[in-house]
Amino acid sequence: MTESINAGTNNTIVLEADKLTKRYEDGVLALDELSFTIKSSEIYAMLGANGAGKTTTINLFLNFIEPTSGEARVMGIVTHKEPLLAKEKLAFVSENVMLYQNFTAIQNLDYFAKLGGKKNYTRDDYRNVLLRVGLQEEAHNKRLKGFSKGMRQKCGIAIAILKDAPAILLDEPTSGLDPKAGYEFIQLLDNLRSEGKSILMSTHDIFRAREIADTVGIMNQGKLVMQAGRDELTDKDLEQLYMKYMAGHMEAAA
Amino acid sequence: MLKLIIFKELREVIGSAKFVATFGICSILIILAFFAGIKNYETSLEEYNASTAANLRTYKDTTDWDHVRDHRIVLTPMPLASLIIGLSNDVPRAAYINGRDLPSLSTSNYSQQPVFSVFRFLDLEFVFQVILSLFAILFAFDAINGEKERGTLRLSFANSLPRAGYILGKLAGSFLALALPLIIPILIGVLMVSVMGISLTADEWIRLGLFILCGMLYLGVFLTLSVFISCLTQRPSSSFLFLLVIWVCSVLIIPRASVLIAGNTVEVPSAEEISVKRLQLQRQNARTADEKFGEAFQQFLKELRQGNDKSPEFQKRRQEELYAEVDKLRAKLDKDLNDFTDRLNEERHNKQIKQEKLAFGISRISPAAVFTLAATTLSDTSMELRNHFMESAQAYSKSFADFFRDKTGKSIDSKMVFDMDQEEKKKQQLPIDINEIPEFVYQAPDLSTILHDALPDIALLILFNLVFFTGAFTAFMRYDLR
Amino acid sequence: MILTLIEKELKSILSSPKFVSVFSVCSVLIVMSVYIGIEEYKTAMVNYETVTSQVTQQMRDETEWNSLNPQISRYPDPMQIFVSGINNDIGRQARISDYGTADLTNSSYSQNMIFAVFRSMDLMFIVQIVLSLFAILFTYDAINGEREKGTLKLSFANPVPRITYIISKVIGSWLGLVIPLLIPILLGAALILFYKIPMTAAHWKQYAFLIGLSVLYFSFFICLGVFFSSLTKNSSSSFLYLLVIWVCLVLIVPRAGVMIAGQFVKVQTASEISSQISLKYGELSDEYIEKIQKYGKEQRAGLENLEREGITSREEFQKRYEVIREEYRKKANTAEEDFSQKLAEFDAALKENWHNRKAVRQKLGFSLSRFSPASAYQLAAMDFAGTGMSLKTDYEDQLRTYSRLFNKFRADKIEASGGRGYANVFENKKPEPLDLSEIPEFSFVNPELSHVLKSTILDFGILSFYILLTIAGSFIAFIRYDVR
Repeated sequence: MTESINAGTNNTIVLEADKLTKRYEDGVLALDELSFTIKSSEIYAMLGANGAGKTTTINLFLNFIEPTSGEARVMGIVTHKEPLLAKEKLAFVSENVMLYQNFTAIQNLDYFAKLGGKKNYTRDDYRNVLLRVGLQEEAHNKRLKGFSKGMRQKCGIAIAILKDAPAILLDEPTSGLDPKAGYEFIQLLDNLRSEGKSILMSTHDIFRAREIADTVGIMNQGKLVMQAGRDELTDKDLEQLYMKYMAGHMEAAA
Repeated sequence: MLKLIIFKELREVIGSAKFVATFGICSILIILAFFAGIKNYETSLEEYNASTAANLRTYKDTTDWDHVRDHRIVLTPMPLASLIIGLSNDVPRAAYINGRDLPSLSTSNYSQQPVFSVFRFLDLEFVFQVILSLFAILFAFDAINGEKERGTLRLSFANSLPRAGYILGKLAGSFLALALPLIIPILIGVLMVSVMGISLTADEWIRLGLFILCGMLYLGVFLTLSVFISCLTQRPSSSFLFLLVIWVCSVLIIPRASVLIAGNTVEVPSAEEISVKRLQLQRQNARTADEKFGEAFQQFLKELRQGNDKSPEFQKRRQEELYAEVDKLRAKLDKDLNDFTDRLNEERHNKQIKQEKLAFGISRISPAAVFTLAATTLSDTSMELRNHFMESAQAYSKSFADFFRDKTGKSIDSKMVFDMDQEEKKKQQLPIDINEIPEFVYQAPDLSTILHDALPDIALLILFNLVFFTGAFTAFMRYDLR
Repeated sequence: MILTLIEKELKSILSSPKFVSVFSVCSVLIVMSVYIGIEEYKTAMVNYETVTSQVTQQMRDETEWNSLNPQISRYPDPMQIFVSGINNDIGRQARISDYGTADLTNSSYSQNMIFAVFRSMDLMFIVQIVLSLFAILFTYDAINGEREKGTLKLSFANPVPRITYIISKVIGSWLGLVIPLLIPILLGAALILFYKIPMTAAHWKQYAFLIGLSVLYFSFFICLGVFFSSLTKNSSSSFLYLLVIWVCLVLIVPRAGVMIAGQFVKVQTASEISSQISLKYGELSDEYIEKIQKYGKEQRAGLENLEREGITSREEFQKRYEVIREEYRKKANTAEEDFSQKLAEFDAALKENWHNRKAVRQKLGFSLSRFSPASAYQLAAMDFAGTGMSLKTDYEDQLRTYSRLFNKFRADKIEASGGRGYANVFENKKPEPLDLSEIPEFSFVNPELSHVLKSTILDFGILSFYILLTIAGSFIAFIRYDVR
């Protein structure tokens, strides 16, 4: 791993959660004063059980929901105040996206690229990016109808790459990928990091997180219960820490 | 096992929010249709009483039965025809009878009151046809492929479950789940009929019961069809789309298209064409007869001038002879005329039957058309109503002629005597009792005839059920459970 | 941005396999409906021609003005191809009677009952029922379907304003569904040209308006679909709602409206009206006869007096006699005039009342049914095609005017030919045929387009209102839509 040696940009803060709190209308506290920062050329992995608040965090960055209090900022722009400006700086890969079933891979890419304001891509650009995410060339002009979950996920990642935004949000990106594709995906993230992207990903995969992330945060019931840099962790550590914090928190809750 | 599946199906359908909403709407519509039918019956009864009274009122002050030769009779309203309207608004409602000629039917309700023809009526038959079929589709379109999508199909067959038992339970369960709740609004409707003071004869009750049975069979057709289609397709969304297209075609398109196709294939000469032709020949005949009469008269005058035998007896005999010849010619011409029109009418009638057979034959591809035909036959509001009314009116016309003979001692064919002096005297007499005029009561064909006519369509509905049931059954036997 | 969105919307509609199948079904139906309409029109035309030629032939055989009772047949109008309306329900023939009334009798449906069993399938029916369903089928998942596919989240990860998104959604679906449908509609028009149906410029104008109206109606269902898809989370529930609404709007409300009005506003039947008139006739004629008898007695008494007076001068007698005669004649004339005036007044009052009640019922029924855009569409379409309710009333009005004209003409002719000119068989003289060329012609005048436009403005308004309502609804619903 060649960490931050060739990071072109200076270490400015790109993504920032500042005491981010979300209480839903039904009273559930989904996020409780969450704070973290992610600099450029940095990957931050959120770990946690289902319902810990990972997806809520990403939704808040995308302004799909409004925070109850606190702010989510992208390059200093408060997302719920200037959502359109903030979204220009964000790319997003969602979990298990279906995309447009009647469009080919290229047509899907083209549409979303244009929606992101990138109008000058050529077919070659689409081809290259699809190859980069590991989608075989013969699938490029096929309709998505017959695609497997992994192939669709690759298209989703390609869409995010094409947007060429400083920040990338990934919601369970490796779900549905086979081990080989998972490995390739980690390589890809590494590449993107070296291009200076700031990446926030939520995942269940402790080992991948340990492998790629610069910082790992463990969430439980809307709180960030642990945050550690890569240097502070080993594979075994993280798993134990994860179990410990989950269990510890439950004890605390009980 | 079967019981378990049936109960699961019942619980699943009846417990769904979709069911509560759609069932509520269906119930309201069914009860509304019953209510509208009852109101409709009351209205038509009022109208009937008013117009029969009005028709008789013409003779209110008449004192001589000799003047009562023709009047209008009105089709008696029938409670079933109000519930299942069919063609009763397209059939002429009144007929003009005079005891001699064929009754002439007047205009239909729709042509009198086109405001109702714009959107037509909302009757029980329409509600059943549209609602029951949609109801069945809505709840059965994902019967099999929906379970597959949810993964419950694999889960179920992880147990030692025979496929036949499963599909049987599925069909029986969903039929019961849809049919049993629908019985409630139907029973309420039937109850309303008896509570609101509409008396049905035993025959009519049987016919109504058969109609409801047809409705259930019709529901069954769409239910088995939906299950069948859901066995044939992978995803519920595509089976629904498919079923909706079938629904549109069978309820809205095929019936209409079939009649129009038949109309284009079999040309039927129009009635007015025939009547104009008849009139033409009649005039020609009249002219021929007039000429003959003129000749005869001239001949008579000539003989009178030149004749040797000037005795009045001979003259009278001669005149009678000459006139008898004219009468003979007249009779022959009349017979020719009648033969001619009979032939034209028969030709038309045959063509009509051919057209009708073709149209209904094609339309019977659609279960909705079969249901309509069965329902209108049962309620006696089918195409036959016109003929039935005509026959009834003819029979009445005959009995009226007999009545006239009884009252006046003359044939109704005889000329009306109009004597000014007599009139004055008649004025002094008591007016006739118009209520003595025999009342016209439309005689619906008896139950056995109606059953005989409706049976093929009921059988066809059962056949549809069987075909789709077998289809669903065999398709499921080979269904890919993964 | 908006162009990208619209382009994508168009592509996704046009490339879906659902579109190919449903669109082709609709196209076939549209073209078929026009074809069937053309065939029906041709049949009606043949029927019209046989009947009229035979009627003319029959009239040529007449030798007496007195026995001339022409029969008018309704001339088929090409617009019935697209919207049959009440054309088949109301009579096609009318006999001009001596009494100045002319009712249309022999409706096509009562003559050929088989066509009434399932009724006809015209362009209006296809648009009203099939195309509305078609619109729903393609828009019920416009928004919530994207949510289910996850593309809504993905789209809104980009700087897309929601208002732009929903506007382009509506415009895109509209273009994607309306433009392809113009193909079968143009094909239908081509069929009309191919079969050389005599459509005048006015007819084409009416046709254009009809198409415009249909597009408006179709647009409503597109907007309705988008509205419900942005109101609900799942496409299956929005479809269920839309289907229920469709059944209500298209099948239930129109029928219910008129039936309710029929319950509330009772209108006498035609036979009751005619019996009331004949009753009044009897009453008045009794009165008249009584008067005449009275005057007759007076006259007789006067003449007897005259004889008793024993006037010797023949001239004097003649003069007095004439005075008495003249007095009688005057009185008799007044009585007769009185009689016919009273009868006419009664008739007019009764009929006016009757027509008013009918109008009230019609207004109430149509207003109630206009809750549904499907009824508004149908009523306006029938007006454009000239097969609406006004066809019967206008036709009968014009027939009445004509029959007055004709009766006057005939009376003049009879008088000119020297009172009665019964050909006498005893004289063995061939009667002369009549000169039919002078008979006034009857031709039905369709209401002017501007007049029709005025009467349909309400329906245009209703449709536009509903469209605006659903568009506004979809905007509001989508602004607050949870895209997750």
